[in-house]
Parts: sequence; C-alpha cells; structure tokens
Amino acid sequence: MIRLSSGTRGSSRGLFDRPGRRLAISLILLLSLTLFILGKVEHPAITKIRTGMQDIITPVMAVLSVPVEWASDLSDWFGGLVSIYDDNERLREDNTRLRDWKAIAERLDLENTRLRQQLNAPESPVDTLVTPRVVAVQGGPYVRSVLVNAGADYGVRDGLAVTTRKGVVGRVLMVGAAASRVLLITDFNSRVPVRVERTGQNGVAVGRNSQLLSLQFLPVDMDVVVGDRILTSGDGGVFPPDLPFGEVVAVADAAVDIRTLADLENLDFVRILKFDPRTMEPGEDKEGL
Amino acid sequence: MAAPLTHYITLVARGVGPFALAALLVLLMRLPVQTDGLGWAMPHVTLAFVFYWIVHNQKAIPVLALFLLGLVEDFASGAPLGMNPMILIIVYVLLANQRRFFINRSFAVCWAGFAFIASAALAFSWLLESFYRGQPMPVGPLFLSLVVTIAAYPILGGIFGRYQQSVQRY
Repeated sequence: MIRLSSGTRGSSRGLFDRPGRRLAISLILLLSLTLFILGKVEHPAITKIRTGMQDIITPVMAVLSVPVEWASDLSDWFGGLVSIYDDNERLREDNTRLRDWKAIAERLDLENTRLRQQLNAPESPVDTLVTPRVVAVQGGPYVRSVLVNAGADYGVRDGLAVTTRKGVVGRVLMVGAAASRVLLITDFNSRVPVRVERTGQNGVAVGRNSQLLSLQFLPVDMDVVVGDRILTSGDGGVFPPDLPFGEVVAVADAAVDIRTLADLENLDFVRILKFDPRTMEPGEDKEGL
Repeated sequence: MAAPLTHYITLVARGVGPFALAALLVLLMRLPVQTDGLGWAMPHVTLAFVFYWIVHNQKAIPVLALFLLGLVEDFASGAPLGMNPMILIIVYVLLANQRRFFINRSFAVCWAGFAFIASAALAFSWLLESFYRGQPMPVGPLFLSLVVTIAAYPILGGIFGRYQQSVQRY
C-alpha cells in the first residue's frame, strides 16, 4: 500500500502533513481515473473537453510559433542568397519545360471535358474547403496527429480528407470551433483504402507509427514492385479516389512497405478537402431525388 | 505599508512559475519545426519536472497544479485524458517517500534514479495505453521515448534549476 507519510525520518516529512492533503490526492487520482474510464467508453464529454482544450491551446501555439517562423524564414532567406544563381538557372529550365507541359495539359483538359460530356460522367468533386496552418504536432509513442488552425467556424467536420500538394496527409478526427485535430496516415489507428496505380489492385494502407506504412489486404495474386505509386481508391467514401498517397519502397513475401508522398515530418500548410462521395455516383439525376 | 508589487510578482513566480514553465516546455516541443523524422520522439517533460521538483524542493507540489500539468501532457501527446495525471500523482507519492535517497547526492545518482523512475512510469503508461486501446501496443516507440526522456533530463533539470535560482534571488 502506498504510504502517504514519510514516517519518522527523511526530508520528505511535511509533504503530506497538511490536513486534507491525502484527501486531495485521493480525489484528484479518482478524477483522473474517471476521465480515463470515460475516454475508454468514448463518452461525448471527453471529446468536448479535448476540443475545448484545442480551442484554448491553438492561439497559444500560434503565438509561440511566431519566433520560430521568423528564425525559419531568416534561415531560408540566407539559404536562398547562397543558392540564388543556381536557383535562377534551374527556374529558367523549369519554365521552358513547364510551358511545353502547359500546352499538353490544356489539350488533355479539353479532351477530358469532351469525353465527360459524352459519357455523362460527373466532374471531379474534390474542392479545397480551407487551407489551414499546422500549429502543433500532437503525438507520442502511440499517436501521430497534428493540430490545424481551422475548425467548425470554417465548415470543417469530422472525417474530411487532408492533403498537401504532394499527397494525402490524413483525415480530420476532432473538430473544435477554431481548431481541428488531424489523424495522420502514419498513425497506428489509420486505415486508408488504396490501389496500386500500375495494376489497379486494391489494398489497405495501415499506419504503424513510423515513417513507413504497411500495404495489406492485397489480392492473393498481388503484383507489386518497388517504385509502384499508390493512390487512394475512394472505397469507404472518406478519401476521394486517385489522390497521390505513397510509393512502394520494399516488397518481401506478403509484406509491402510504402512511404508517404506528402512530407509528414515537415508540414506547414495543409488542404482540407470538401468531398462528398455522393457526387461520385455516375449518371446523377438530382432532379428526381 | 502595502507590500511592493515586486513582492507579489515574486510570490506568483515561485508558486505558479515552475508549473507554467513546465507547461510551456511541453507546448514548445510541439511546435511544428522541421525535424526530419525525429519530431515524434519527445521527452516526457512533466515526469522530469516532478522528479526535479521533489528532489530539489522542500515544498509540497499543489496537487491540482500537477493534475492540470498532466492534462496538458495528455493533450500534447495525444494520450488518453487522465493518464498522465494518474502517472504523475503516483510518481509524486512514491518519490516523496523516497526523497531522502536523492538529497545531497551526486548528479549521476539523481540521473540514475530518474532513469529508474522514468522506466517504471513509462512501463505503467504502456499498460494503460494497451488497456485503453484494447490491444498490446508495440514496445519500440516506448523505448525510444524512454531513451529520449532519460537523455533530456540533464537539459531539463538545468532549465528548472536555472529558473529556481533566478526566483530565489529575489
């Protein structure tokens, strides 16, 4: 049994001597245990407490991050000065190359629109709802999530997909008024339906709290090689289909490791997508609904 | 004659300051700086704080402050709400009874003591997390967290010590 008094000797005498101190410790311990058990049974009060804390801490984090951003900007500025000549050369080359790509993209866009009209296929339903900033990383040994500075005030709701321009980041898990928590795809609890771009085979990307994810539930005759690109499949309706997700980095027997395309270790701004899976139904006829 | 304002500021700095400092450190470590993969291995600041406080201070820690500090740690680390307050209070009670072993001892002895306490506390957190999530959690990330926490103790202890010295001067 835990002894709350230090006995006859020792310098800890007095730590628990004040009247009511044992009671206070017992009550706080009981309160902590109650919170823990309520969380275990997923009581809504716990979600409210967490979202309340999110809304309080987010402005604090925004203030704390200002000097860090200044230091980072200053470092980037000096870094840019050093490489300004090389960057200029590279940008000239990129510009020439991208002009060629622009012509190709415009032609393909026109062709795509024409084909969609012929097939009565709906437009891609993926729009950006809001582009918040990551203000804090929320994580420990068993959690990978970040806090962003947009919440219900911007129309954010649970389950929305979050990406960067490189690829999928995660999904919104907990929404406060001014802040939201985003569960990263590398989190232990993350499961994302995906497909292999080259073969079209479907699987599930499972987070494991490390930089790599496991590709599981592939068909028995799986055909996956290192370097294959992985896209979201759209199954389940949380993530829109065909979003860039990851790249296969190791294949051994039935185990396939993938690395995320988005740089989850250095997140800055992210896009929360406004995605309604109902608009994916082919041959929509909303007048008749 | 009324006490000067600096007197009250000093009282607040002595009473609330250490907890505010610990909470600030917990939050500062959560800033999204470029980490290249190391950002998730963060030291358990509040555990280091409780150990340092008990070994180096005569006064009892306000239990409510400990509870709030634990909640901040829960929030920052994404742990189940209530888990870190429980761990901190149990560590506090156990350590308060064994404080005499660390008084007037070398830093190495204190550091070894902290390593032992941190190992036990994080092992307990593993049990709680596994119960909470309904399955045994992997041990690897916990071990990394333990190593980082033990390695960071001299730095965190230095920060707490510097603060204590600066407040005691007034």
